[in-house]
Amino acid sequence: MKIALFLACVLGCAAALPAQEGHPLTGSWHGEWHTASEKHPLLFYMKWNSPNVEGTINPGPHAMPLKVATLDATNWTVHFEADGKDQAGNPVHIVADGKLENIGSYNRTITGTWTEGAIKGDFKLTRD
Amino acid sequence: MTLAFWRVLGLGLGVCVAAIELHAHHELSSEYDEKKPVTLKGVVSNVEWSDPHVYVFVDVPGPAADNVTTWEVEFASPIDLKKAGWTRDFAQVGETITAEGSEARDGSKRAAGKVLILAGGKKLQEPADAQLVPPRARERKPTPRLPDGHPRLGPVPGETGYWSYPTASTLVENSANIKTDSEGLLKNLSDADKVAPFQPWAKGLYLYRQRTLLKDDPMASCLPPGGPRQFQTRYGFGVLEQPERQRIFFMSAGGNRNWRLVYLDGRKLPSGDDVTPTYFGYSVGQWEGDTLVLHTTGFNERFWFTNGGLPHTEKLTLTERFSRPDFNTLKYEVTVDDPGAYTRTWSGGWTLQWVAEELPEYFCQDNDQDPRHMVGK
Repeated sequence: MKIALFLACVLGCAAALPAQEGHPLTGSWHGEWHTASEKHPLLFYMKWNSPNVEGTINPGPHAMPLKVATLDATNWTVHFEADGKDQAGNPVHIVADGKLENIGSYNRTITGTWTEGAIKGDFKLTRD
Repeated sequence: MTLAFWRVLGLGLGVCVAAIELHAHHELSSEYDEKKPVTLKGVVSNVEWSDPHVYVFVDVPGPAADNVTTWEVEFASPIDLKKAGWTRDFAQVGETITAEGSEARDGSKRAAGKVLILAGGKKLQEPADAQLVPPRARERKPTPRLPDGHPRLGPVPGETGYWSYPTASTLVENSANIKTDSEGLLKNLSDADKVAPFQPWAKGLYLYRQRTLLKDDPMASCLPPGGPRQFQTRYGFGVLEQPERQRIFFMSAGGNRNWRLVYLDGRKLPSGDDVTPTYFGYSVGQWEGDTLVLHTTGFNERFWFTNGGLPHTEKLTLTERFSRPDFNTLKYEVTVDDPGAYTRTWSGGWTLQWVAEELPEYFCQDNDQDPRHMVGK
């Protein structure tokens, strides 16, 4: 019962969250990128600082600054690039192309393809 | 005031013509489809006489005797319905009525009511355009003044009144000849480039909001109307002047009785981390002759700063000018400076009319059921 009440409260609070009505990429995003055999959690923090979107992938000890983050508002496609290290510690270049959806929602999403070095996969991010 | 003056003023402020039509705290077309008319005959099972909308619940019998569907018929707010002669007890539970309106876009058993025919044949209608136009000023009077000689923007002692009926339903750049509906929805999307000098992302977002019939409007969820929107929100705003404390309040009615505080004591605007972004920002002002000039910064990004869905960022700063050329007219001009959303500063404005009545009480939160049904196109 307590769990049900807690969940109801959490869901109720989530429903009442005010949206972020400025640049659609601004904010914290979480999700994952995956291949057929692997899943990797993702956390993006982005902020519109005209004329650029600035941000970081996986803020923390393994943070990767976004070198490129663009939004084409004519079709809501996004393009990200970053340099980081793979799990073995080797330098790796990341390229992600996706599409922003449910734009008016606080919990808007980005889905697309993720390329990390020679590995290709898909990714999905949801704005927190 | 000469006719030429008003012509120039009209052009200078941007002729954003809003057809005066029934509207609510949101764009009605995002929720209901006028192309889907519906007539419902049944028994009233409940009436909710509350803001932001009055609801009549009607049990409509189906083909089978035991098959009854309850429809929720939405009408305007009590404030507007009263103008059309409705009263709180307009219908009784158990009464057989006929409601005419438009079906909901989301397929739910809901309708935007236009006409209600009561059991005795009495016909109640949504307020007509003519019932929502501003009351005509009774007499021409000069600008009232404070003891220090500055124009008085609020009521004179012993009287009541507030400002409402803005001449534009959305903010557009000066001289733009653009037609919108009463919520700022463009009649013609190709006019978007005339609205403001958008950055590409901001134009894209503005067009998205327009194409989806403003379905994501934060005000539909009862969030405050910061910026110029405070002065174009339905049911107007009052002005409380406190010259002895060197400050002034702008008090919304349709904006859920929120207020905005402006300091007139000569302080400077805060900058950087000294200001926490809020819906109404941080405002300071001073008189320049007969014009009150305000500077505001510190806006958050959780609201739309004008009807119609124009985006802004936390970099938004506003310079607003208020003047009262005569007793019944308030002139509002605003310059928008937001390097995060626009390519340059731009200006617009409108005039408002004095309403010699008490500011009405309106709380959107009272019975707000719209956002979850606003699906847009």
